[in-house]
Amino acid sequence: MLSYLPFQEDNYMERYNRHIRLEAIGLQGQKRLLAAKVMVIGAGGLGCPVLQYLAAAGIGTLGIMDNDVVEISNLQRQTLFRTSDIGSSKAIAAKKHLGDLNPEIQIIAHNKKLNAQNALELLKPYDIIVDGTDNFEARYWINDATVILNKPMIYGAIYKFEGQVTVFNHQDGPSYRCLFPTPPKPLSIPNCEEVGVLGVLPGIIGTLQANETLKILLNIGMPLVGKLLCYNTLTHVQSLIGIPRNDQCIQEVKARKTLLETEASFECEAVPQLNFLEAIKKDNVQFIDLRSPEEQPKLPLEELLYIPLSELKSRINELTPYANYVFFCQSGTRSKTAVRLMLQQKVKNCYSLMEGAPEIHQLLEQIKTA
Amino acid sequence: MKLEIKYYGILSDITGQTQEKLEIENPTYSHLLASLYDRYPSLEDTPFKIAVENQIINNDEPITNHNIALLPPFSGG
Repeated sequence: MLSYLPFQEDNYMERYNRHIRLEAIGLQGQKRLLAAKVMVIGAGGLGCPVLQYLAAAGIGTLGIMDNDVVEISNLQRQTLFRTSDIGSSKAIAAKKHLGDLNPEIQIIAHNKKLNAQNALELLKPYDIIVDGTDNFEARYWINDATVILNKPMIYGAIYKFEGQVTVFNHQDGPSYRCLFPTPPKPLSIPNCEEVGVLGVLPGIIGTLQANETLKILLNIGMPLVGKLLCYNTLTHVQSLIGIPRNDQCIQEVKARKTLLETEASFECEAVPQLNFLEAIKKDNVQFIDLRSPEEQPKLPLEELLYIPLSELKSRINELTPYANYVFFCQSGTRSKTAVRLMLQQKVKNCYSLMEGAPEIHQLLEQIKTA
Repeated sequence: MKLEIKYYGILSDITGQTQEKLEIENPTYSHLLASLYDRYPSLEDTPFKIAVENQIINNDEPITNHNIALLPPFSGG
């Protein structure tokens, strides 16, 4: 039967006993879950509960993609992680804890960032893709990749006390671009890091995403196709908003067959970028770390300023005049926004670093030991 | 028609309320947009969709029900 099961049939029956007892699932449904492959992108507030429930439910192959490390400010809501995980790779720490929760499933940790080049190849082996990311760039890549690969995308997103859940690209339903054809302008919609979030909110929304994933795999109930579930934790008001399918939008993405390189491609304004090795060769370089003070790792660079993105506009005068300004953050999203902001302010010689701080940290370690 | 407008996400921060009533004669999509932009100029910088009676509508459809929701994209995860 299932070759990766190290346990007796009896034992595995026992683990999933409460599923198997449900008439709508039964042994056959449980075997379906054990044969399923689900990729969860982002092991953060949304990704943690999704991963915990899917691992517990016996999803046979569970992919985790995240290139961040666990930080102390994550633990308020990302309950898969422990204080002892601080500084460890999220994908690898998640794999460790989930393996402990359910050693009968295969868990694949992808300690890397999704991008336009790797998305199609990385998502291809999976049946369903769960979007637990925290930025628009990744959400549009996931949408376009799942449209091209014809796979369901389980979407969840949060803001302060409110959440949204829906299923895109399933049963001839709409895609994310049918709802919002292009990403919003930089800075128009802040993320959790900037405005805060109630810790329990991603727990609720992520659990709903896991629920939709199981429903689709088991072919039970009515998945949220063409309906956006909006939930408010303060009032308990829920609404289901109908999303019309925009066939033209979907066909355009399908016809393109590849992913657009950057969000700038949508906005027709490219952001000047550099990689770290190019940056350190430039004369008169000033690095600007846009992260908030608690974000790790700190980088031992000369000519380094700490200016959180939200304060950049008011602190432009702190920059050394006439330098080459190189912005970086954790993932590369804020640094692009910063460069756009600077260009709007007519500041010249601004670049966004292609690597995030964790990658630069690794590079510096390699340089040191070489 | 007296429209009952619900603001989601950042729109409730911008407008300072989660819902309000707005009187508009023979409302259409663009009428509604124009009067919203009049009241809250910074809404112009924020993308959102308009739902009428829990169904998202597109440009220039007439509005035939008072139950309106304004939905911005969320990015948090």
